[in-house]
Amino acid sequence: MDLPLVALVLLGAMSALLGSLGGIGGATLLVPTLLALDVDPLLAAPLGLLVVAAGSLAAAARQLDDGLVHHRLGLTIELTASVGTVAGALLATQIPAVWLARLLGVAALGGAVAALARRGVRNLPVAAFDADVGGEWPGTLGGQYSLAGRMVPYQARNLPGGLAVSLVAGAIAGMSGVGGGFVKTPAMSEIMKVPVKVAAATTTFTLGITASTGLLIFAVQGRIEVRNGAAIVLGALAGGLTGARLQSRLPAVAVRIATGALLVAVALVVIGRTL
Amino acid sequence: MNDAAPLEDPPPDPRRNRFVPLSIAMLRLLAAIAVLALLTVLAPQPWDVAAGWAMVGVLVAAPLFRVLWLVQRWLRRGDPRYAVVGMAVLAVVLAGAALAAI
Repeated sequence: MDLPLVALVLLGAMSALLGSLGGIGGATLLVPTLLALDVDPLLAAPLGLLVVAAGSLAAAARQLDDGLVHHRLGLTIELTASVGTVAGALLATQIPAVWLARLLGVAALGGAVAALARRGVRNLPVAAFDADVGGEWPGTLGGQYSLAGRMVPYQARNLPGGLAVSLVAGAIAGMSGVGGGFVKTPAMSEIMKVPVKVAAATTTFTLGITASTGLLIFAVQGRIEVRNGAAIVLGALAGGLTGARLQSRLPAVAVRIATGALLVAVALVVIGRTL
Repeated sequence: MNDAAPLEDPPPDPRRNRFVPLSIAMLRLLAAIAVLALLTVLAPQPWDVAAGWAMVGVLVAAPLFRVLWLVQRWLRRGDPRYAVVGMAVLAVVLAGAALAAI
């Protein structure tokens, strides 16, 4: 790869910032951009997952403090996502790049439609919860989060649907190096009826595990360029920290619209390159 | 005459600080990754490669450590169902690496 290190730092920063804001993972933007710059897909995929891992870690402390992450829900859907990641990473070399790019584009468009179709805030504040802090309820897939100073209760629904979509998201991550957050966040929000800010934060948590799974396999396969990866990670850390700070302050509807617009742009780039 | 106890502020919710140890650990791992990434970019060979692989190692280990922390917490707090889910996720990750090595 002949890209200068400064360019890799900037690419990592922009990707992680936008990915963290939308809960889609920085690699969703980074990997198509690297492909557009003629980087080998087999080398771009590990770089993408390094950004995903760094972005997830950079956002962790802030999101833990805000009580937005639902760990039980995240680990439950990560169960099938990790299986998909393993399968995708092991099968990646068998799939033609054109079909992989088209698959990515269609999935991104589907996520954009899901994110943009709904209007308003589904889960409304309940006065009875005003004395509590935000977080998940032990032993359940429910919880509460703070919205404009009031507590909003929620309960995840349609777990089988969420698990199925998560399996697909994991396979996409393993095959291409994008985190699959652009599938997970809309699925958690629209299929499982989890508030979008909780869905985005929980997705960011699960993407770290997805990235770990893929990176372990890529390391064994000898596909990680650590010097280029370090440059991208430096940028991703700065972008991820900034994105996590902004995420807890932005209104839910704005986050959803921004996520949808980003996904449309990504899909056009990815599909356009295959025509 | 009013025998009611005088009004006091409610005690702070203990759940407010439940993730502070994990949050601090994540910040320390983040700092380690930033230092290792800088070393990888700036250090001469062969230290750059060594630092780079250390960075990858920490990046891979950090989310797995977080899952382990949650598993032990849920086991101690009587939530074994989700502790098992966490352990199953770790098992899948390790099985994937083992499959790739074969």
